[in-house]
This record gives sequence, C-alpha cells and structure tokens, in this order.
Amino acid sequence: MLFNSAEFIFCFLPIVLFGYFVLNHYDQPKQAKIWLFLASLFFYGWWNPWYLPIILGSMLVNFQIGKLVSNLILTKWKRIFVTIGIIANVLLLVFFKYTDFLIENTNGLLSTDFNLLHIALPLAISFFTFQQIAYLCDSYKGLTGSYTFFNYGLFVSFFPQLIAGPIVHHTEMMPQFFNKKSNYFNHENASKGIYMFFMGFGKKVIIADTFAAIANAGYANTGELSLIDGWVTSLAYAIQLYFDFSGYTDMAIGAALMFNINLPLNFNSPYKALSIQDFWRRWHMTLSRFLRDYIYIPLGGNRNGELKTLTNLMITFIIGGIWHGAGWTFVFWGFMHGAGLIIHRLWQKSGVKMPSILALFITFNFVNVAWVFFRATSWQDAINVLHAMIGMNAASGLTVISDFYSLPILILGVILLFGKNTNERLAEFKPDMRHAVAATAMIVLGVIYINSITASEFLYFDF
Amino acid sequence: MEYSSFLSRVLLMSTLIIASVAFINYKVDLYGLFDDTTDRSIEVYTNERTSKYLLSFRYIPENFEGIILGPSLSANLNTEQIEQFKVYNASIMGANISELRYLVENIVQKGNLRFAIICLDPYLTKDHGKKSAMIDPKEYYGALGSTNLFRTYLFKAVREWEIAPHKFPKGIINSYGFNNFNLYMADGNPEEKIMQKVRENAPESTKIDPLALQELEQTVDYLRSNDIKVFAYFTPVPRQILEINKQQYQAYQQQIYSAFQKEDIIIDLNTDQYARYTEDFNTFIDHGHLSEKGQAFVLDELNELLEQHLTTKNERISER
Repeated sequence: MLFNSAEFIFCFLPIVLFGYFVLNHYDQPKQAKIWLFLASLFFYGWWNPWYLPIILGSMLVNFQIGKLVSNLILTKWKRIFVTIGIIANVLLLVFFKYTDFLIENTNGLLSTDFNLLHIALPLAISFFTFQQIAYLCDSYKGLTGSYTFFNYGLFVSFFPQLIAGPIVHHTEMMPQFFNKKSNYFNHENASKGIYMFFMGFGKKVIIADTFAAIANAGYANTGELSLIDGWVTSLAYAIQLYFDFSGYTDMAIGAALMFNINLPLNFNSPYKALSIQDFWRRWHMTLSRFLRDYIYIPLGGNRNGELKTLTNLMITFIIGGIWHGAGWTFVFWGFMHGAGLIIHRLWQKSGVKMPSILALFITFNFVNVAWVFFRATSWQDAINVLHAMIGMNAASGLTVISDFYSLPILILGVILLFGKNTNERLAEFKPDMRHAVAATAMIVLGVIYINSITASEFLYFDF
Repeated sequence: MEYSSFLSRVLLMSTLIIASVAFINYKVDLYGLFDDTTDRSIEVYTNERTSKYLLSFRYIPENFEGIILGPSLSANLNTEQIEQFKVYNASIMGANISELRYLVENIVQKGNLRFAIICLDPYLTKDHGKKSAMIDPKEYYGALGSTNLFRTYLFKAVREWEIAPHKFPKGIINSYGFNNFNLYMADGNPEEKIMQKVRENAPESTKIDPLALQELEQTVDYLRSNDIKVFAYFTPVPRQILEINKQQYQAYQQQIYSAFQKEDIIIDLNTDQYARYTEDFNTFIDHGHLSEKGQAFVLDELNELLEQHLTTKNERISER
C-alpha cells in the first residue's frame, strides 16, 4: 500500500487511527498497541503476504537473541550470541539482496556458469535488518529494556517508518509508545501530522514525479544524450531523488505524528550543504547515524590515527553503497562519497577556507555526478551520461524534456530546493487561517493527484 | 484559533471543495460518461488516447454504428463525410492493436455496433502492450477531477477561444474522431520526403510482433462473435517506397491475412488498380500519412465498400 494511494489515505489510515484511539479511550493501551502492530503487518503484507513470514521470523529471532543477550552475565557468551545474531541478519540480507550479484561475479571471476536465482527482494528488508542489528548491538551493551514481543514488533514494524525509514532507534521509539500522553487523540499533533503528510505528498506526486519523467527519458537512452541532455538528466534525477525520498519521509513523519509519535528527521536541505561531511549530516540522516554508530565507531572511528580514520571512513561508505543496491555502480557511488569525505578531511586540515558559494557549488556537483552511478542501471550507462555531461557525445539539442507544460513545476522544484524545507515549515506551523488555507489546498491537490494517473512507487522502495 | 477548530475547518473545507469540484465536473461531463449523450457532439481537445478511451464508454456506442480502428495512418479520415453511415474514427496516433482493443471492448459492450473497419499498416502490429498509462480504467473517475481533466479544460479554452490558433487550432479532433493533424504536420514537400526514404533505402519496417498479431486475431474474433461485420484495408503506401520493399510488404500482408476469415472483407489499396493514387506524391503528406486528396480517395473506397455490404441509412428509411 503506497502512502500516495487512495486506499491508504481514505481507508487504512483513518481506520487504524480510529481503532487505536478508541481502544485507548476505553483504557485498553495494550490492545491498542497490538492493533497497531497487526495493522502494520497488514500494511506490509498488502504488497505480498508471502513476505510476512520473513519479517515475522526476523523479528522473532532478533527479539529472542536480544532478550538472551540482555539476560546473560558473561561477556564472552553475550559476544558469541550477538555475533550469531548479526551474522544471521547479514546472511538474510545477503541471501535476498546479493545472491545474484555474488553469482554473477563468481561466474565472471572463475569462468563458472552458475544460474542466477532471481530471488525477489522482500520489501524494506534493508531497513528492518539494519534496525534490528542496532537493537542487538544495544542489547549487548545493556541499553535495551525488557520489552514484550508485541512492543518490540511494533517498534520494528510501525507502518509509517517500516518501508523506507527513517531508520529508527528503539531508544527514541519505545518511550513514546509507553508514554500515556500519546494514547489520546491530540488535535495539535493531528493538525501538524496532516499538514506534514500533505506537504510530503505534494513533494512526491507533483514535483518528484514530474522530474522523474525527464530522468527516466534520459537514462533510457544514455547513448543518445547531448551535452544539455546529460546535465538535464543528471540534475533531474538529483532533484527527483530528493523530493521523492524526502517527500516519503515527510509523509511518514506526518502519519506517525497523527499517532502522537515523533519520528526523527531524515533530511535537512541537503543540497544546501557546503561540504560532503555537511551533506551526510543533511541527507538520509538516520542512515548516516546508523553507519556512524554501528560501523564507523566500532571500526575504531577516529581513535587510531589519521590513516586508520580515513580507512574507516572509506569502509563505512563502501558498506553504505552496497547497502543501497547489489551492483558495482553502488559500490563505486559509496567509494566516491568515501573519497569525497577523505579529501574534505584533508582539506580541512590544510586550514584553507573556501567561499561558501564555491563550496556549495562544488559539493552539489560532486553529489550530482555521484548520483549518476547511483541511478544508472549499468556501468556503461553511467559512463554514457558522464560522457554527455562533458560534451563527448555527438548528439545535440534538448530531447529529454518532451512536456514543456510542466515547466512551472520544474521551476517550482528548483526554487523549493533552496527555500525553506518542510521541517522548517512545520516548526513555523500555527493553527491560523493562512495555514488552514494552505493545508486545504494541499489536501485538495493531493486528492486530485490521487485521482490521476500519476501514482508511482517511491525510489527508496528498491533499496 | 484552537487546534481542534483548525482541524475541523480544514477537513470541512477540503470535503466541500472536493465535493463541489466532483459535482461540477459531473454536470459538465466533458467525456459524456455520466448522462445520455445522444444529443451531444463531443470533440477531443487534447490527449487523444485518454479522450477517445473515455468516449468509448458512452459517447461512441450511443451515437455511432461503425468505427475505424488504426494508428495515425487512419486517424485523419474525416468519417463525417461518410453520409450513409455514422462512423466514429477511433484511430489513435501512435496506437497499436493492444491499445485499440480497450476501446473496442468498451464500445462493443455498451452499444449496437454494426461494423468495424481496421486500417492495416505494419505500425499497428509492430509491438504489443500499452505504450503509456494514458489508457487506464482509473481515468473514468478521473473525469470527476484529475490532472488530465483540468488539462483538457485548459486546451478546450485555448482551442475554442483561439488563443494560439497556429499551435492549437480549433476543431483539431472533431466529434467524429477525425484528427486533422494535417493542420500542423503537412508542412513540406511530400515528394522530397518520399524520395528521401527511397534514396536512403529506408522503408518502414514490416516486422510483426507475434503477440500483436495474436491480439489482432482476437480482436477480429471478438468483433465477429458479437455480430459485427469486419472490414479491413491495407492503407496506401507511396508506390515508390513500396517498390523497394515489395517482397517484405507482401510477406507482411500474408501474415496479416491469417488473422482474418473469409467472411471478413479486406481490400488492398496498394494494388495496381489504385496505382494512380499511390504513385501520386500528392496523395500523401509524408512517407505514408494521407493528404486531403489521399483521405478523399480512401473515404470513397470505404464508402463504396460499406454500401456494397451493408444496408444504408436511406435504404433503412425507405424500408420503414
């Protein structure tokens, strides 16, 4: 069920909200949480009910290991069980996401002829696996509480964040689920939630999907792109990805807020970043937090000298690249960001200051070029786009934009990119007439778009 | 303002606006979906695929006894000129047989269609499946308020008030489905365009997608099983182009014949009998689309064909 679908907005969400608050109203908070947990499983199973045993099995195993690790006294045994748990999670992810990639590379390297398995990737597996690895690590450190399975299951599967994040941490979710204040319908949160949800909705269906048409046209014919086409294609994707993913996140934050749950921020105007380090503090912030806390720091972080710090940065970002997809283009994308961070670190040490506008220009273009590897379906496609961007293709003219009627939306997208972001707009939110008109306009526009042939899946569903 | 009143006002205003928009569009009924259409003449203003698909729900079945199906090669036949029969040109620019089938099923299910004329050209069967999301049952309710609908209003205004007549001329697709794209496509010397194809030895591909051929056969069977007389014609191809591709074209025709049965009527407008038209560059506006002269020639042939095999309007009146 997509957030931008009629069945979610008009059926699922109102019914779940109603059930949750009615149960709480009659002083049944436990049943209300079970209701929310079951609704989240229904939401997940809507795509494919066969994925339910995978997520349920994963939650059950991780919950039991976490409980066991928390209760053990000897560190040695704690370490053994937590290692088993992490390996089990990684193997699950590798099996579903990387088997064909590994077979392809084995065949290429050893001249073997193993058949590809074409295993379907269960939705959100990358997200719920990372979330549970974090939980296991915290159980090892003794940072987790004595949760019941339903509470744990709700933390993992809470539908607003289940499919594409934000990647939540049990320490920020569990206290909210246990807070009695969050059991009752709150007009302020509901108002803000609706406002945020429809801002995200607009970002997705109006802006991201318009840029998607251009990006898709460009990446479908990379060999025939002109210099202008190359730039328009890459920029269109950079903008599409931001509005698509941050739009999804806004909808997730909005939907959760209606249940009085605050999800962490995931985007903070990333294209305003003045360095790659700054970019990763603004882009997919909860993934950056996970990579920092559960990969970079355990590797040693910056505690073992400069060379080891730089190596750790590179390893962390290559893992980040692989997490996004099974392909060498993703590995290279991660490598580029790792290299960018290393260069930035060395530059900082030199003490030379760069004018902000130049820093923004360089950072944005670096990110934009890296997105080419992220989006291209093959290495050759990525090279073709880059060739076009430096004028090495013979083609000329602008062919990737076929619908010039969407020009106002394209301009709006670019303006919004550097204007106030949705978090800032939500912080300024007041229950006045201006916001009521804006919210109404967004809802009406949203309903019109739902009723139009524009709905498409969110990009991060693939990761 | 309290948050509770904010919330109730937003929900109330949204509901009222959405209901009003839906009600107005229901009343305007731009595609003739929600009320009787027998006294209406509905034109197409933009997005031929979606518009003709929506017209296939009521307007075409309620007002026409025959249809023409095909890609752009037949879309510019003005069927209003076929006086003895009321024929809607359901051809769509760039459409293949898979897309046209959606219209056929609607029209057959909801009306009393007597006959269908299929324009045969390799373009119709070179691929299969929907080429875009523009033909989608969701558009039915989209007629109560959707981006496509508002875009159509905009184009209706631009065309009817002749705001930019050179780019968006009035009456581009009339109430008979005739797409007068010659207004903007007939912009050059057809002889030059045809001879360039000949010089480059680049005729249109005659390749047939096996699934498209199967769909053509199923469409014809479907029409026949609903007592609808099937006519088909191989659309004229400039003789000069056909000469460089004759064998392949004949092979294409043989394959296409396999989709029809002997009770179906098929004519080939590329035989020697029609050479005076197909040799004449002025029959075309480019490598295959018909000029006004070409349209008149094809319409005459179709008219004659229908009169030979079906009872005409006048005959039906005199019988009564």
